[in-house]
This record gives sequence, C-alpha cells and structure tokens, in this order.
Amino acid sequence: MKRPWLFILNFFILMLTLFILAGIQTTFWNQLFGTFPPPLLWMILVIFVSIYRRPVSGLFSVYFFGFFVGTFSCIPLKMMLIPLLLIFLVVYSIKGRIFWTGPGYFSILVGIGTFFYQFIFITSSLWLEKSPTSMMLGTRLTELILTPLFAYLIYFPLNFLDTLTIDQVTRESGGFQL
Amino acid sequence: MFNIDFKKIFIIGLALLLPILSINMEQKQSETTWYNTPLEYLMGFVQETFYTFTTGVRQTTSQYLDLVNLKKEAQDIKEQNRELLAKFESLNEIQRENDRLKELLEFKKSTKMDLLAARIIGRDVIPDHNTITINRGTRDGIQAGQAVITVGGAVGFIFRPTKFISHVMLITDRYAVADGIVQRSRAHGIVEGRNVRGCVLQYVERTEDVKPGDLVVTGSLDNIFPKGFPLAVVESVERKTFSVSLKVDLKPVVDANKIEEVFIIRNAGKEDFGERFSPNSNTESDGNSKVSSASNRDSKHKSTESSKNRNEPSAGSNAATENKAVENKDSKAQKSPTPTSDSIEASMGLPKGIN
Repeated sequence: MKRPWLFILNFFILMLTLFILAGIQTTFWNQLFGTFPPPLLWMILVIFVSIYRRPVSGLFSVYFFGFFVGTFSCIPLKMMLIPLLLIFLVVYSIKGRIFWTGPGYFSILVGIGTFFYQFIFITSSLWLEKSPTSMMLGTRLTELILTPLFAYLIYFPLNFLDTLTIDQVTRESGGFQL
Repeated sequence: MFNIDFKKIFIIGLALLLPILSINMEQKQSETTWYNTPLEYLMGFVQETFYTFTTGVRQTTSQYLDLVNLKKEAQDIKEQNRELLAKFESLNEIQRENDRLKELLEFKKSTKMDLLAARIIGRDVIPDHNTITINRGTRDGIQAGQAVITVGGAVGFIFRPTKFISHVMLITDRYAVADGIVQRSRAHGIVEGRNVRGCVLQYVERTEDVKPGDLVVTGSLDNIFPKGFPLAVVESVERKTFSVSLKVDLKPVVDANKIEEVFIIRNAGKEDFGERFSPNSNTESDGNSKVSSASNRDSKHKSTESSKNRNEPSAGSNAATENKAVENKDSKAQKSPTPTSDSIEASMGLPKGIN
C-alpha cells in the first residue's frame, strides 16, 4: 500500500485545484468572456471525487469541497451541501451500474451530474428558501454544454495525479463498498 | 610537269591583296559608300528588332518587380496600420478609463460622504446568486453592512469582508433587501432582489401612485444607503384583485455586469441626495448630467463623450451656488493640466488594479 501521507497530499492538491478552478470561473472567465456564462468547473472536481473515491472518503471530500466553494459565494451551507449530497448519491449509483475507464465516461457523468445539480438546486431552492431561484434556462443550458467539455480536458491531469498518489485507484466495482 | 592550279593561286592572291589594298584606300569614316548602304540598312533593322524585344522584356520585368515591391510596401503599410489601430484602441481604452476615473473623482469631491474606491475582481461562483468581490478589506476600514455605490446608483452592500477583499451582495441578489421610496409619489416599499436582471418593490400599498418609469431611490430606514440615491426604475406595476399590495417590478439603475470600479461608503455624513437625481433636476442643471437617474450604466459612454464636450464636472448639482462652484472648479480645471489615470487613482486611493 502506498504511504498514507500520499493520500493526504492528493487531497490537498485537489483542494488547490478546486481553488484554481473556482478562481478561473469567477475571475479569469469574466475577464475573457464578459457576461457569457462560465462552466461549473468546481463541479468537475466534485464528480471526479464521487467516482474515483470510496463512498465515505468521497462523500466527506465532496462536503469539504462544497465548504470551500462556498467561500466564493453567498450561498448558504444548506443549499450547498444538500445538492452535493444528492449529486454524490446519483453519481455513485450510476457508477455502480455502468462503469468504464477513460475521459469519455467521465465527461458523460459530469454532464449527467451537472444536469441533476441544476434540477436538484431548483427543487431545493423552492423547498428551503423564502426567495427561490429563477429558471435561467439559457445560463443552465450553457453550463450543461460547457462543463462536460472542460471535464474531458481536466480528466487527464486529475487521473495522472491519482495514479501517482492513490494506492488503489477505483475502477470496476461490484456493489456498495465502504 | 608541274601541276599548278592557277585558279587557286588567283583566289589566294586576291584574298591577300584585298587587305593590302585597303591600307592605301582613303576612306572617310563619316561617309557611307554605296556598297555599305544595304548592309547598314540590314544591320539597323536587326539591331532595332533586338532592341525593341529586349526593351519590352525589360519593361515587363520592371513592371512585375514594381508590382512586387508595391505589394510588399502595401503589406508593410497594412501592418503599420494594424499596429497603429491597436495602439489607437488601447489609447481609447485608456481615455475611457481616464474619463471613468475622473467621473468617480468628481463624484467623490462633490459629496460629503466618506467614500473609498475599489475595483471589482470577481463574481459569484454560483450563477443563482449575484455577488461581486472587491479588492478592499478590513485593513482598509471596511465593515459588514456598508453600502456600495457607483456614480449612477446603488450597487449593493458589504456582506462578508475579509482582511484583503470583501464580498458585496448586489441589490439583485435574492437575499438582498433595501429600503426604497418612489421618488415621484414618495410611496414606500422594500426592494428585494430577484435575479440578475431585476428586483421587486414589495409591500407597496394598493392605493399608492406608482407608474412605469418612476425612479425608486433609497430610503433611510435600513441605515445602509444614503437617502435619495437611485436604486432602480419601475418596469411594470400590477394591481391584483385580491392583494393588499402592488406587484412592482424594477430594473436596477446600475448594471453590475458593466461596472469596474465602485465606492464603499464608510461614512454617509448624513448625506441626503433629495431631489438631486430626479429627472427634472438633471435636465434643468446642465442637460448632460452624468448621473442619469433613469438610465442604465451603459449610458456611461455617452456621459464620457459629453464630458469631453463640456469639460465640466457633474454629480447632479442643481443649486445655483453649486453651479457656480462647479463653474469655478471648471475654470480651474481648464487652467490646470489634465490629470492622468495614475494620478487620479493615487488621489482616490485606488490600488493598482488588475488592468
């Protein structure tokens, strides 16, 4: 087994990547493309962790990432964690049924995850918030198209990082494993 | 006995004799003898033919070479033109930034509020929320709840300051609320954010007089914004049959997607803008007021052009004394050299931005 500190290193590098992606989405993208809706780059990392980690560590990693991403927004913690939990469950259950390695699969799952995120967020907002969010169809469709495209590119460095630092990289799974 | 070929001897003798004879022949170089004339005609014809041919070839070649040179010259000129256009655009951008910063400086000077300038460095990571990040924090005296404005109107308020940066909640955010008054009829309500495009004015009584086009300004009940500062413009008013209040949709005066610099109000100084931003007062004062109470911030380009034309400070002054003060300032401004962007930024205390 690889040294456990490598796993911690992996987590910190992912955290750093998360901050970089969020920074690109909130600052760099606006400088280049103005008001054109950016992709949900931070969501790519969340789904990566949901797919390629064991359930418990993956879920807590997702919570941590949600907490970190919340610093870039005024979103309440409940509106961040509840959709992320549901996204994790959706992605994990799909992964349990259908799985293959490669960036294509990852992109597809990011697309599915992004779609479910929009749906879950709107539903949660209607349920939990006094002033619920609006449909913003154009923005959501653009995110749905752009996020999987960027996921394809981001998959390679993330996979490389996992190969270096993670002992058993999750591939095939035969059911629910803690 | 001897087999002598006289014919051959004769021919050889003649051949040797002719040059010897020609030594003694006196011939003037300038004269053409009768036997040379046809030869010379032939020679002339041949030479002219060759000359014409070679001249034609040379001319064609030189035309081609000229074309190639012209093409190269044209390309060089085009390249230079492109570079000059790019420089011109960057100078234009600097000019626009200069105008923008001058506008901010003039606004800051014309009010008694303690304002701190800041640049917008980021947006919200979740598209369902409308917040911005500015490059000022608690080390600059920023506190939660302070109002954020621009020259044109209210933008939002500080909701999460950190040491170096602060998060500003825009008035269009779903969680933002502000006290609002319809300037014309003084109808009171609460401005709540809806989405990036607009807000609503809640809790306005059914009997109140509110029309589309009315300007909604800040009240003083929330203790955040100075009184009378433009917030939004009424887009539509709906009177539902079984409702106690009106449904008033608003469009913010300031488009947060288009602004780059903002002011944070550290101390409002009991500033009351009163009627300063009403449409009537603006037309009476100078007709080209930069603080357009009922227009969006994409009119800032028009306002910068008008500033070039007028070379007058703005900030919505409408009193006679204020106009005189403005004219005095104006005459001083005309005498003094035009401030540069760097000097304006320094005087406003703006840190060097990401530009």
